[in-house]
Amino acid sequence: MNRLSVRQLLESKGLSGSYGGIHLSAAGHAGSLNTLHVVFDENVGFSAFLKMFDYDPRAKLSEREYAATGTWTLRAPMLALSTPDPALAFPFGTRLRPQLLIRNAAAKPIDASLRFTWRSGGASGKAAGPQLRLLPYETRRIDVAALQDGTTLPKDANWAAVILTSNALPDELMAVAVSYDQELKYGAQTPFSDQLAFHWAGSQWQYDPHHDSVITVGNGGTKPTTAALTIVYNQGAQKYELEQALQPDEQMWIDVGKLIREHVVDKNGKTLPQDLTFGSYDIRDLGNKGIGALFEGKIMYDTTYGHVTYGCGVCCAYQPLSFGGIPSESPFREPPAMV
Amino acid sequence: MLRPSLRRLSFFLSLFCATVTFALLFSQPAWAQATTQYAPPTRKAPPPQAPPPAVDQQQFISYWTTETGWRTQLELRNNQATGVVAVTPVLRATDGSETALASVTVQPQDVQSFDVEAAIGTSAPQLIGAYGSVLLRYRASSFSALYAVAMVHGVGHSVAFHIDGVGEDQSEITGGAKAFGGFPTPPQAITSFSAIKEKLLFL
Repeated sequence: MNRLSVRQLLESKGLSGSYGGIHLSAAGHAGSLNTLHVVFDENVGFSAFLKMFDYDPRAKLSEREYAATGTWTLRAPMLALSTPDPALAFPFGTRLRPQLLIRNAAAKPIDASLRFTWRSGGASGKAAGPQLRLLPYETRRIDVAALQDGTTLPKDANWAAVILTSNALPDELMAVAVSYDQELKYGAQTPFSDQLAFHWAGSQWQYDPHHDSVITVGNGGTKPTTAALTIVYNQGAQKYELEQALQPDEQMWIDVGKLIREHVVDKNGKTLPQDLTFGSYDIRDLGNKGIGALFEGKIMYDTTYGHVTYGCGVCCAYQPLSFGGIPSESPFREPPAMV
Repeated sequence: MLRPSLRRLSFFLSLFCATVTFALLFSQPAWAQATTQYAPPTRKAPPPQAPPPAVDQQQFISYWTTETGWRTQLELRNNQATGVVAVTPVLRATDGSETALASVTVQPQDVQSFDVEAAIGTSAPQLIGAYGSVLLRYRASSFSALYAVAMVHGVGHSVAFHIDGVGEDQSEITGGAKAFGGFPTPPQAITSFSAIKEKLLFL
């Protein structure tokens, strides 16, 4: 294992600038190479994860374009907008600076489009973003905060799902979303991914006086579907089940703490125990079999230090041939998640 | 992220399954009609198909650390509807040497988490104040029976990283090269370059 300082690498090569791309290659056994890229500053309490994307030049769009729209599509499900959701418990007056970094990793120009599905405390909507033409190997910064001018995105919107479509082949175009305040003390990230799935197995959620978790499930397909979210607790022995019909691009938005605090009943009339502090979750697409059309995201925040981390679920293709047996899951997982 | 070869396999497997399902569903009305007309003899439903046999599986997490000021927590989720998963976490040091920790049993759809330094205890003092990667060994029908995450926290401040477990892609791209892309630095507008204390890349 090697741990490298990117700063030192850049300085040793005399490279300047403040952002750009990186490319790694291996002469052999590339499948055994795993990477992780992080930035942090302990002094101000800042940390971010800069997602690395696998790039397979043999990949065909038909293999990776799960919604069958014929375009390479990436989604970031939970971009925190300028006005933070009060649920994040950031100090009053905190303003975030949501931004996107979009990189063309190909030796050709790529045309791309951005669109947003935003939400605030009492409203939600869709908005078209800018059209982009990225030059070969260009990395472009998109200031989403500037788009919150009341014309593209509402000034008081708290969240947006970002959908990036393009004429690129798989992973020729990649993106990172970040949203931090001026001092880098408060903020959140949301990962871009192309993955849609029929089934997502979620990781751990937490809820106590210092933690809460927000989970979202979106319909990335072109037809309406119904999403089922199951909160699993008590060592996997008990379940709390919610279902919601979702139009294309629409998202189910679940604040786990709110479910517990407000005694929200599930589809079976059940409530979560008031002393429940952690568990996991599971998501299924009830409207699609096979590949499925759902994307998902989760954030957990810790009021102790004000940091928000996100975690992605594992996508599982469903194998309907195991009739009568347990649903088996394909040996696949998704994505390197980031903070 | 799905390895490219696994993505292709996933896609074609899903397509195959969807096709077979569709064919079965499509054929059902004719079969149902035949039963009402000819009242076939009662037959038992076929026995549930047994899941594939459990085999040895491995996942890798690219980073753990017990260095001063850092804490690593491992989260293990059993994605299976039935059957426990026993996971043996193995800490790899930077030189590749391995130290196995105590096995962790995870109930179906349950999640277990533990602190790496506490799990090391006094059994492997050389791993205190060290860093490396994690190997997770378990037996299950499929790789995705286990969802593994490392949470790396900076103690006492708002620094935390969520690192997912991944599998090994046995395939290699023609020509023997594989590329990754990412962003080596944060966006200019959220920080001045010099404000960031450290940027690390792990290979």
